[in-house]
Amino acid sequence: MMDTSHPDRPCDAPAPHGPHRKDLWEPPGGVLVWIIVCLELLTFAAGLIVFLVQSRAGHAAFQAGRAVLNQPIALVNTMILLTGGWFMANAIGLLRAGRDGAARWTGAAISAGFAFLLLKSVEYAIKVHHGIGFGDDTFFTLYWLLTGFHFLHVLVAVVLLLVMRSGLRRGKYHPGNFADVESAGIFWHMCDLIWLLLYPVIYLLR
Amino acid sequence: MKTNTWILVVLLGLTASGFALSTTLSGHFATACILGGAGVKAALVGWRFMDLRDAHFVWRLGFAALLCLILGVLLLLDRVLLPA
Repeated sequence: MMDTSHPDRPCDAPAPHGPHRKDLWEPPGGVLVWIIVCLELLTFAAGLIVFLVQSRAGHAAFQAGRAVLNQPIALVNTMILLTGGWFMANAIGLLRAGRDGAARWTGAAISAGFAFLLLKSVEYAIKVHHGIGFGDDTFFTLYWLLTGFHFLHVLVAVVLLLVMRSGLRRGKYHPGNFADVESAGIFWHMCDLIWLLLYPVIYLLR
Repeated sequence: MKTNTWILVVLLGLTASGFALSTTLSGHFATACILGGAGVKAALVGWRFMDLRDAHFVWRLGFAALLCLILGVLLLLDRVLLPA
């Protein structure tokens, strides 16, 4: 296997595989993960469409529901996820460039994932403490469904990144073999994308 | 890494702006700005962090079309279904 690493290669540089990247059947991370990304985005979009349609039927109840949501936690969680995405993008950039530090940046992304899950759990605990559960009304049924489903995705992404970090530390992944890390990274960024759609519709729109 | 950092700064700035906008404005204009900001953020994440800039143009076009479709339907629903 050809080693394409170079110590001076900037980590912003395109992938060392160059022309292959422009191949229709070889998108970054592989075709399969992109099919998953598209299907997940469409699934969550369908949920958000139901959310908006239902908000027409019960506009006052939805406004009251939004007023109960913890806006600061959601804002901080959005920033944590975006920063986690930045960590992972840097990890893959360093790995491609054959430079050290990919495992550390992946670890930082995992920490961001745990921070998101912790804050989200706090938000859920506050809701449960106030007696707000699944099925109380349409707003909170959809709130629990959409954010809970996203929570599970972040959990899966954190587990994937933990496995990738273990491989990085053992030297399994290098500039000639990083497709698995790239796929896990795409899945991680997909969680960002989904949250970027959920956050405004559920928390911000009035 | 420097470009990624600038992208992150823009993403965080847009997030803070969207939050500030939602606390001061309401109605269709606010919805369009907030969802528009989300679209820009999603496009930046896809282009830079998910490396679509290195992908075949069909993937870039498909991703952009998917985002436009989702956000377009949400904006249309907001305009058609919700009171002004």
